[in-house]
Amino acid sequence: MSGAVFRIYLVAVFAFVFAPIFTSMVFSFNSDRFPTVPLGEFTTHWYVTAFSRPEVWEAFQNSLLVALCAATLSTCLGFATAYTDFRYGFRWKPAYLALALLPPTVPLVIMGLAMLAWLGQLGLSGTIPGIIIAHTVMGAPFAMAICRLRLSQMDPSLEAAAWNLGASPWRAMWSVVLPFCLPALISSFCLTAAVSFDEFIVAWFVSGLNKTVPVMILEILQGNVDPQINAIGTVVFLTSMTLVVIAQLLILKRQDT
Amino acid sequence: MTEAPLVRFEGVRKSYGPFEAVKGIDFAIGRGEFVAIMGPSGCGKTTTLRMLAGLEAPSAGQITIDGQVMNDVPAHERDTPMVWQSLALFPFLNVKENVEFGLKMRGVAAQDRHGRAMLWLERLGLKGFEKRRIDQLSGGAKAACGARAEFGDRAADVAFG
Repeated sequence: MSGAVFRIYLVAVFAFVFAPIFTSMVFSFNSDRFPTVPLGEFTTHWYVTAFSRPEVWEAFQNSLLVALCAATLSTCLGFATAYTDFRYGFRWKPAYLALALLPPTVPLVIMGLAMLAWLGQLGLSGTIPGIIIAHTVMGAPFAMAICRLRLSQMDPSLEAAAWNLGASPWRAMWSVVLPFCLPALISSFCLTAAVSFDEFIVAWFVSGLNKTVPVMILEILQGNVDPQINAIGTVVFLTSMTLVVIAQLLILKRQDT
Repeated sequence: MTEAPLVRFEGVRKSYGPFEAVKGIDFAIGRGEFVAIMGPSGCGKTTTLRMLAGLEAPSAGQITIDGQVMNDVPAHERDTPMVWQSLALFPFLNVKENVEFGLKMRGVAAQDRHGRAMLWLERLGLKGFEKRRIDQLSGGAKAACGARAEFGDRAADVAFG
């Protein structure tokens, strides 16, 4: 394929993927109530209206809190699982890995229903800790995959060299393994935070009155088509994209070193 | 009267499940002695050195260093620095930080560490490279940096992996 054709192809693919999101962004600054062309005047009215509603702020607070806690827990769990795989050989390792990587293959509706039933038994249904648990279960396999990739790039003698130089196993973990994995840990954190921030289906089942942003967006949409959705959607998109871009940059950077 | 050996292996064996990597070895190394262990690939040279450094526990037999039985002494409490075949340099630390890593782990104060690290950098021919990242070094400079562990003042012996 010649260079020019390839460039056109790339532009077409990106346009196909990003055009709907870009359209939503454009309409979030459009003064007309309905998404029609030609556009009306430029306005920030929909942002002002949307963010003057207390329930929008509350949903953003819930989403941020859940994303931060779920990302922290997912990253810790993911790293511990990946390190166990890297460091130890044991009989049922293939089964261990299959189980650890299973959650993303479960249909989200099934996961939501299962979480609702399980968290209900624990008395956590409809609470913030309940959503955090559900999102941790969903995020940990992604964190594990990223940490596992990074650990596979580590010279296995590095940790033993640290012990040999006088570092206790915990000190070697702190001084060698964790610094080596730092880009992967930050990348896991950003990616799992983005997954949690965007997640709708499971959150819809378990959030109850503590709505997250995607759940709140659907509830507004069920009432009527409101341009405020475009404004909220733009903020959500930019937040998630920032997190994903940071994660990608760190993944690309660590492949260089 | 001859001096007691520094390192002694008595009937040392190492097995991994049914596979016997080291099949019962006995030897003694005196203080100041240079010893090369030679043999075909897979004959247990590395396993022997790893047992000496405490990175593998012997399945049977006894290892003594300076008269002390070492079988249950963890790797980080031994004074058996190794130079690794892969060099095992820490890629996230610069040359000086790599060289002084062992001193830091053994609790030497920062100022003392700096002086000793600089002295060793000069001896290793790495003066002027102390702030460089490991991937900015030539192969020879990396190998010199890999000998970082040698500089412990009380180094009992140096084992080459």
